[in-house]
Amino acid sequence: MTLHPSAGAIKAIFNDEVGNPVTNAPILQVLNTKMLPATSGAAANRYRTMFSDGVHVMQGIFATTLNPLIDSGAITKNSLVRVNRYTVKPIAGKKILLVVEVDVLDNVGGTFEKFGDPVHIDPEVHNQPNQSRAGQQNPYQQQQNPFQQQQNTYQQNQNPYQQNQQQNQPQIAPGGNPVFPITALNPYQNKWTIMARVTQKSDIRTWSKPNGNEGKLFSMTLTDESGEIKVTGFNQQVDDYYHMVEEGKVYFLSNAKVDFAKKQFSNVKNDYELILQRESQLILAPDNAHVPSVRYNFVNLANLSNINEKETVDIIAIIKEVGDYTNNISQKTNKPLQKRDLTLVDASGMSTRCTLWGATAETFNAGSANPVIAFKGVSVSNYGGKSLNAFGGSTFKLNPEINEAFELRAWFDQQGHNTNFQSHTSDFKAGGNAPRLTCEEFKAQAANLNPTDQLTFEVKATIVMMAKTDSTYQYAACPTKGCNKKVMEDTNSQWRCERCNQSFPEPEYRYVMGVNVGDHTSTAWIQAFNEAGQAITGKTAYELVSRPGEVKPTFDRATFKSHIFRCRAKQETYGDEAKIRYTIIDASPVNWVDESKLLLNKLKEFGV
Amino acid sequence: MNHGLPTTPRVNSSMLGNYVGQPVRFVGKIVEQNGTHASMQACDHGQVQINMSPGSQYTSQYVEVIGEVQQDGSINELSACSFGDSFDMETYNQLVIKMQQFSTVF
Repeated sequence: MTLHPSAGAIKAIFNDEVGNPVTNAPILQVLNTKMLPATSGAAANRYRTMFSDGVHVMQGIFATTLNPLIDSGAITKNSLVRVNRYTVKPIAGKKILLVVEVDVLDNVGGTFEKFGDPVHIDPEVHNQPNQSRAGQQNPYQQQQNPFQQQQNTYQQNQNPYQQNQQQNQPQIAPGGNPVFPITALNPYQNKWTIMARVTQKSDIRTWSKPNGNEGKLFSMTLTDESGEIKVTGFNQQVDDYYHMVEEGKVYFLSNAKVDFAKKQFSNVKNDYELILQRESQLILAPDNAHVPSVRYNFVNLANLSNINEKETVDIIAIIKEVGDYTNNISQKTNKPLQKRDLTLVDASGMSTRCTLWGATAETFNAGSANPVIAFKGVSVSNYGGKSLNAFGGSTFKLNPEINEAFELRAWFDQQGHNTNFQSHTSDFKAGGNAPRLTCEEFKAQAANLNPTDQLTFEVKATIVMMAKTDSTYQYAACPTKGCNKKVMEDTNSQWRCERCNQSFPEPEYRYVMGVNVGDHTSTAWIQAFNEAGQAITGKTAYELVSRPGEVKPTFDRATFKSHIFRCRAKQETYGDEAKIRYTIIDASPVNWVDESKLLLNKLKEFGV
Repeated sequence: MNHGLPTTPRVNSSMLGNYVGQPVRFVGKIVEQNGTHASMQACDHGQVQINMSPGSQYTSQYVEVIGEVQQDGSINELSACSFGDSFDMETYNQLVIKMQQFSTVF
């Protein structure tokens, strides 16, 4: 016997024909099924559907005990079921077939075709003008109850996205388009709706260009469980949307233009971004805890060494120290530079400097001791080791209510406050943490130094010019270990050190000379003291002092030799002028094999 | 940029086939030598035979041979230069590959 729905069953059920045998365990076909998400935490989802007997359809709902059948795909579109137990319930004035127990009928493994061309049994529904059609073309109809859009069940078939057999129909949002995850948005699909939280909203910004081009814009970040995306509104859309959008609330958005992201203006992680249009629809949604507020992708401070410069990361850490707010004129731009440095530590045992800029630096208040701070979109820099910059696009939150924050708090209170942290900020002979820079780079970075900061770096450079060969390349120093102060010859041919309050028959001659070094980018004068001087000349200062004729040939031989110079740059004030001075911490010979490998790596970074 | 004579290309063993009849610069590690022939290992691990020029003797582990590539893949030495006893063949191989890739730069 071929399986088919029990014709006449729907009519009999709808009209309460209790005695009619066709109402006994009728076979019905399941047409469209729609999931209604649970309205409260404890309740389950409900599945609504249209049941057909091949002649008529009526609305139905599955008992929650049957949910697994739908979830598993056992009941899907066009499935035939024998309804063993059911009742008819009036809901919102309409008769709904509540199905309690069913047998799913198998079509020898295949699926069924839709039987007949059934019409709705309820004359009221049947006679209504096809609102659903209008609904598709006119998405701006006011939608009172987005989840009860019964008319839209017919519309689901029109939407090509729905054609992909999904026994779980995607949530239909106001406007009639299915709800996409943000990560599924692309410029080739424009029938979508997203449901997301506004995790960031900017101020209104205006621009005015000399050629008459001017306008205003605002932007915001929408976040859902799949990801985040930047949304911008220009001009008229600012007026339409800016004031109704509230940060932290969840909205449905559809009919915005999907465009390629302009990454230089945003650090939101998405290849695309949305532009609000005149026909865009932004509707407040009931808050849904499923929609996350702010998506973080935290990186440990220890892992910063692996992050390249200029990349943006999210960081969560304890503020160990809050620096003072400084507002100095930048040497480079002649504009005031507002800065504040924070020292961040985390459970990886590392500490790092994070710099705040502008007004944020000024108004920053960490409140009580050592709060947790979560940063979104801070930029990694190689300045002074590895450090972080909270530029315009970065946001932060103090003591956020997220698990990572609670863990950090617990760690810090128990052990963290006592830990000696390894610093990403390099100073003095910190060993590995001096970044390799070119001459041009270190000069540029040094120009931005605060009077109190220093920059440690490494440069592979060639000596272009040695110091002068007169006696100024060295000085007589106090031989006391660690003293090195200049000593003066007194009347007894003794050399006197004022600091040690001692006289010595012989001083220790030490190098102090400026050498001009250069690479393919630039040249600079850097200061060599005794160790560096010996490395550069291959002789002690004493040897040259005692044999002055050797000085010029020695210096000539030293010229055009390459070294790896590890240096410190610091701002020093001479009278009124502030200048940058570079001193060599040490000079080591170039290991050509290592340098070759470095260059090969750099080529790889450039994609060669 | 070529000013006058073309530069003699640096090759590893896999590239020899492209330069038959032409002079190349070949750096290799001596495996054995007997006065008239030497067997060398190239930076890409291939074995290459060198047909030494009369009187030539290789005194170090690594030698650069400038010579003409023969049909059979051996090289007739024109000149040789000692490269000492320590030489990073792996990095050198990368260099040879890059030089081929960017021959206009070199």
